[in-house]
Amino acid sequence: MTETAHNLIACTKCGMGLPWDFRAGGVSDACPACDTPLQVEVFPALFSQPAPVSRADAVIAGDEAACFFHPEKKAVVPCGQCGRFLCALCDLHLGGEHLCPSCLESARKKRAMESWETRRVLYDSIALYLAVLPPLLFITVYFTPITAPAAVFLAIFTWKKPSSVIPRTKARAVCAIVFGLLQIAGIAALIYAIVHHLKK
Amino acid sequence: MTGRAKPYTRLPGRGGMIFLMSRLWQGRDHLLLVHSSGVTESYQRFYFRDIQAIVVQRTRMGKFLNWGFGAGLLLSAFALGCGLLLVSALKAGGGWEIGIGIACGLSGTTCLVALLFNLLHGPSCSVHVKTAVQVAELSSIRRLRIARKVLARVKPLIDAAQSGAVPVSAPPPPVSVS
Repeated sequence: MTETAHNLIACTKCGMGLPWDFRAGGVSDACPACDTPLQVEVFPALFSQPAPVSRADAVIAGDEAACFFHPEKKAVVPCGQCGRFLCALCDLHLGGEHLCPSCLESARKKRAMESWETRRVLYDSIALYLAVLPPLLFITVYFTPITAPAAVFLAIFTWKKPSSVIPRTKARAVCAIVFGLLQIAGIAALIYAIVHHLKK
Repeated sequence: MTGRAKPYTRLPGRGGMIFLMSRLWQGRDHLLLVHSSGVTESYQRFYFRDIQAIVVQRTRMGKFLNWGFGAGLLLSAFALGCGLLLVSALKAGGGWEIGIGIACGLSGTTCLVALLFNLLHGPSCSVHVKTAVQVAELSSIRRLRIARKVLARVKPLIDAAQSGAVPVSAPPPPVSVS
C-alpha cells in the first residue's frame, strides 16, 4: 500500500511522516527522525477509501426533478426541513439529516441544533461571579448595590436560555439569586438603619 | 418513568491554564473537547467514525517539573541552613531564626508537595487525534496514565463505529511503546 496524505501519520513533535513499518510491525517505538517515544493507535478509517467527491449530475430528461438552487442539476434528495429538492452539491448531510444551505444557516442562527454549536456563553457563571466576587474584594465592594441586582436579574432573565452543552445543573443560577437577594436585603437594611438613625 | 439519558460522560483528564480549562467528554457518537474560560465554552467534536488514529507522544514536561521542584526544595534547604548559620554567626536575635525558618519551610513544603504531586501523576504526554482532514491535540490529557485510561474507554467505541468501514488493506495491529 502506498502512503497518501489521507493515511499518512506524522510524528506529532517533528512532523515527519512515520514510515509504514513503524505502524505495522512495531519495529521501532520512537520516531525515527526525532527519537520521540510514540504510541500510535490506528483505526480502520485510516485504511478505508476516502469518499469520492460527488459532482451533481446534470438533468438528463426534461421531466426529472431538478435542484431548487441549481435548476440544471438533477435532484437527489429533499431537504429534511423545508422539503426543497437538492442536488448532490446542495445536499448537506449533517447529524443524520439532509439539509439545504438556507435551512442550515437558519438553524445555525436560531441555535436549533445543539450538535453543531461550537461556542456558548455561560450566563449562570457570569451571574454567580457578579454575585460573589464584588463583596469579596475591597475595591469592588462599593459596587454591590449595582452588581447584586444585576446578578439576580441576569440569573432570572437567562434562566431558560441554553447553558453548557455538557451536563450542568441550575445550582450556579440559584446561588447567584440567593447571594444577590441576600446582598440586596443587607443593603436595604443598611439604608433603613442609616435613615432611622438620621431621623433620631 | 425512565430518566433522560445523559448526552455526555466525562472522561478522565483536565488540562489548560486557570482561565482556559479543557476537558474531554464522551458522547454517543463523538468525543467532545470543551475549552472553558469560565464565562464561555467552545467545543470541538471528533466523531468516532472519522478518527483514523490516536497518537500519544511522551513529553519531557514531567521531568522538567521534577527537576524544577527538586531544585526548589534543595534551594530552600540550603537557604535555611545558610540563614541559620548567618544568624548564629552574627548573633542576631529578634526572631530572625523563626522568620527564616517559616520562609524557607513554606517554600520547601510547597516544592515538596508539588514534587510529590507531580511524581504521583506519572510521566507526561500529549495526545493527538488524526482524522482525514486534521490533527488536533486533546489538551485535556497531559499524563500517560490518563491517556491509557481514555484510550481504553474510547478504543472499543471507535472500533465499533468503524466496523462497517471497508478497508483497502488489512489494518495493522496498534504499535505501543513498551
